[in-house]
Amino acid sequence: MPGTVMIVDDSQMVRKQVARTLLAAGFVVVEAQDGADALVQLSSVIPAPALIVLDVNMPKMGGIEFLQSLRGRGPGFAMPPVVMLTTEGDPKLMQQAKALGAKGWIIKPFRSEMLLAAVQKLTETAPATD
Amino acid sequence: MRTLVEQGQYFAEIQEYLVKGSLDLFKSYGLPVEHAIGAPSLHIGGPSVMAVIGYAATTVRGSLLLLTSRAVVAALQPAELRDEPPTEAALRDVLGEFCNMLVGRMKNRLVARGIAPLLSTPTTIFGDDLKLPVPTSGMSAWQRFSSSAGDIHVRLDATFDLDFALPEGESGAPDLPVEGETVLF
Ligand SMILES: [Mg+2]
Repeated sequence: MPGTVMIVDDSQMVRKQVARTLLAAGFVVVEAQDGADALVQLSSVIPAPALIVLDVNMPKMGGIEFLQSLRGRGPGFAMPPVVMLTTEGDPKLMQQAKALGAKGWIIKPFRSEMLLAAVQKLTETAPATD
Repeated sequence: MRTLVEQGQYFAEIQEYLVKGSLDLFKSYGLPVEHAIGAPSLHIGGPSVMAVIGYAATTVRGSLLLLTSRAVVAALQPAELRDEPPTEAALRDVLGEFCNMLVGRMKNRLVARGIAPLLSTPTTIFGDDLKLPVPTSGMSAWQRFSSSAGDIHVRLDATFDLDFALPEGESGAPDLPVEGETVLF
């Protein structure tokens, strides 16, 4: 059964596009408008999201900083798979995200079927979390 | 040391990326545009939307700005999200994201040539008859794109340091991902 996906992006247009795609495939979608908002919501979303779709450039807290913050949560925190969804194609940023545990990178504008394929693949193979 | 002529050539090359990026991007959102050569003086009458994103690399910095009418932004909204009368906030958000996607395309071409600017998040403005001051330093150029919904104006500002250079070709990074591509790690 598809689980909950959190979309973190400062653009409402992108959040709506992602939500629409994933809702149609049976996922529950939670929206956050930047990394800081996502951190707050992560402590309250039950069950924890099965996957996070994450923008890079956002006000308050960007995607890379958000990943660093998740990493800093220590061994008790099971990090869900993260797919970056961004206009950035800079290999250095991609390496940085990968090193911080991100599982994929999609460059905007995205096609719904590609996003859905990536989300389905990563939620199927994700280890079960408590 | 780079001369003004060399800087002008680099600026023209970056504008080429921007024009190509604009044609591709607007088309992919269902609003084909034509690059209008010999643009008349800039005039957007009535409700207008403006979005600007700053960029900065070690030897070049500036901004990319989009200015168009409310009707054009409404037409750029993906059809499936158009089920409500568009609010000012929604229109600002849409143009801000287009500015983001366009500056991203420009950056990705520059990254392939060894220049990787940091990007700001968009600042957007909504108002009647928006006008802009002429920049007093660096280089600046407007490009106009015409569409069935109206004109879209794109302005690139750039200030180059004397040691700025744009290495030839894209050979340094042959396998960079492109827009719309998925990479799984
Ligand atoms: Mg963003």
